[in-house]
Amino acid sequence: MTAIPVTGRWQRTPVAFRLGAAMLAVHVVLAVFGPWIAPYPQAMMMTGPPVQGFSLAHPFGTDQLGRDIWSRVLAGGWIVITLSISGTVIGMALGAAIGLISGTIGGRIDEVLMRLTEAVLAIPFLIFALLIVSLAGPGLQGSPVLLIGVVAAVYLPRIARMARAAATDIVTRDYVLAARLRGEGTWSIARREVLPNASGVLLVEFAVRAGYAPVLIGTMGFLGFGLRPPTPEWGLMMAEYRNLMTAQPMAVFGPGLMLASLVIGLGFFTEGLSAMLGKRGSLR
Amino acid sequence: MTQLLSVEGLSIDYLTAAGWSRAVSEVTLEIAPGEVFGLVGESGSGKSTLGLAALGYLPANARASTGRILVEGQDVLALPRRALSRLRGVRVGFVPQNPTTALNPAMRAGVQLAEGLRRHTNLSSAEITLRCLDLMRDVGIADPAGALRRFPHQLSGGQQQRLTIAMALACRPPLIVLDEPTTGLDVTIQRQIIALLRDLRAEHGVAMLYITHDLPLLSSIADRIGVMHQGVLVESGAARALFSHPRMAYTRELIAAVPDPDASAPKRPAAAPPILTATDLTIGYARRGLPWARSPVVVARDVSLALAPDETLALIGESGSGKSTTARAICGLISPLAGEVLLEGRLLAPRLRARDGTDLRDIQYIFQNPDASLNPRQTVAQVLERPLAVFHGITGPEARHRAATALAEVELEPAYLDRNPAQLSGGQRQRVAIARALLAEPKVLLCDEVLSALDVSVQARIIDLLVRVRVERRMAMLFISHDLAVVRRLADRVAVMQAGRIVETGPTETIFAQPTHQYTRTLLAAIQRLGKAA
Repeated sequence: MTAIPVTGRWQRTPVAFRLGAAMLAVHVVLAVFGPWIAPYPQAMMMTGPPVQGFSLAHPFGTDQLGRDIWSRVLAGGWIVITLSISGTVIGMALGAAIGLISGTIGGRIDEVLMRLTEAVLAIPFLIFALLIVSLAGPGLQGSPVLLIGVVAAVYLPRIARMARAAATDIVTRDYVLAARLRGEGTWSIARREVLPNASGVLLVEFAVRAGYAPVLIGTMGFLGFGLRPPTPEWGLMMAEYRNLMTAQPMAVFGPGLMLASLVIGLGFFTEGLSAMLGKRGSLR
Repeated sequence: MTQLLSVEGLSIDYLTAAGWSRAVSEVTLEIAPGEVFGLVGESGSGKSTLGLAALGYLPANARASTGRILVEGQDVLALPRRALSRLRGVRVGFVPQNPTTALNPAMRAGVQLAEGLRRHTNLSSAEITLRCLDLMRDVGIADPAGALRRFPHQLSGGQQQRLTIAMALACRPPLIVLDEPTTGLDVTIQRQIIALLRDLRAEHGVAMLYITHDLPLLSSIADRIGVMHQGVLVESGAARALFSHPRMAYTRELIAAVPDPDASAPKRPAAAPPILTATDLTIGYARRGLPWARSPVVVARDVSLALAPDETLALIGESGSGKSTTARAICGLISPLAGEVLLEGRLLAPRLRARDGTDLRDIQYIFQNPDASLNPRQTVAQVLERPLAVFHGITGPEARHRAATALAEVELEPAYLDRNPAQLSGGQRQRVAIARALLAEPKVLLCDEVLSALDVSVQARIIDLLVRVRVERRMAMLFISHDLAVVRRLADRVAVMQAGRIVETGPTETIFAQPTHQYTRTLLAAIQRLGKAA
């Protein structure tokens, strides 16, 4: 199973994986090359008549100020993707470290750490996120750094539990006993023996979380706790334009469509990834 | 057509990275009603693939390229799905190798047993219940009504295998396929299952295709035996004739690879003071529960052992008798509740964490299953270099050089350094595990059933290896096994464990010739001797 011929590699992957990867590729291309593709600068006013629906010049129409919504959506892509990924990466790094070490140590320390994460998980995540924003104080509110912190903080306990579950299974294996018999410390066992074997689970967990992060960021923006106008973040745009809903529905659906397709693409990608990992146990 | 099962020039290919590769090659064989046909061969010889094909089952990446397989005259590989499902339930039963994975852990035994009857017969539920009770009695389960209510994990390994046999027999099929049905069980239970199968055959006249790698076992049940090697049926014939006059070289090799229960290790007087002594070890596990109801489960009680330098002591007994637990307490994986372990006169701390590097280095433990004891995500080099770094502070090119030397000592090429465990065979993996233990340069080697996960022909070579390195390095070895033929070949002394206690200790020859304890006699009687056919 290890030596799969290179030619058939892509064809052998699950359909969901291919579809998801294609959707993600489109999003990444749009996010990176957005400023060059965009017909107008995103902040430019009076690019056409205000509050206008679909036209060839303005695929998503224009807003009250006559800004081209398609250009704004394109400009927002990299913001959404960068914030999602960096928030998830931080949450992943801390959560996985805490979870793996907790699972490897076991015993009382593990109990305490896990009860703590459960206590945090008992708070609905949106309320937890809003709590962090209000605690951060007005100085930080609206800054992307805070938003990354919120994503990381919301994900940390969830990822920690997943990593801990994987670790408690792995530490019962004989190769971990063999490491204990060498007198290896917890950190060394977690890093050398447990982490490589948990990497499959963690990879899928990362993809799942990264897939939901845009929604979290969008929700925060919509509720007014995320980035501040005039940042063209998709959730924020949907909030700004909701009073145009009847006159110019594309103003809301445009960013909504982009957000939905990004999340769906990540969802497919994750599903395909976990199917592949489930079949082989590892990506190699 | 008088034959129940006939396989006619059947070839089965698997799709691999390199294209189609042949797993079964133009095999022809026949089984008459009521006959037991034993199919023997090493793992990978294609015997299981052939057995499953008799059930009309081919893995998704396999195809039958030539020939056909007929059950009562029907070509089973050409049957439509619905007819196949009837064939499997009603005409051909199947007993899997591993009942713990074959049984559904979330369903009570009775529900699983009744499933086939409910699907394939028109019996009322009262009749089904009665039939289930009969079946449980047939397979020798003492309390049928009670056992039907239990979940699989509440049954012992032997009972679980009895249950899968009952499931295979439920619709009274004329043929059952058994795929290594006793491999995971210990000798005494193995013997009971074989006796049960003989009774069932006498009573119901059911024919069997019995697949195993254990040739001596077959001698006591099979009428005819077929030997498979690399997909080819190299020899087949009446069981007796095959044992007394094997025609093919490979068959002779298989028979020779089985350790002869009468062969024994060269003896020498062991007068030196012991290097390792365990005194009155009582070992137990904490039971989970409410604080006031938490008393430990004692697995071994008052176990005392002494191991002279340059000596092999074998610890024998059934599974669950506390052999592994004792070894684990000696190396520190479990803290004993009472008793002490001395190494060269030093008292070893009961807790692993409290032992120093020298203590850890001097006692090396080799696990039963190399699949589990080698980290699948590390290369052989990473596995071998770790003990060098931890115990001897050697890293870099010097460590790699030493790892290559250790591989040579266990008869593996240095090229294996950059492979993953998944790219090695079972025997090669166990060699790597042995090399890892040797790199620590231990004084005592604890071998916990190190052969039982391996094929017979591989076992012989691993025994030779262990004996050679032990003599060369003048190590002491505690060898845990339930295979008495192996023990007789390599042990200087034997300790017999039963239900957590050592019931008898003595030189190997004495124990085998004049066992004093009743349990030792039972254990010795359970060895399947080659040629002592049914």
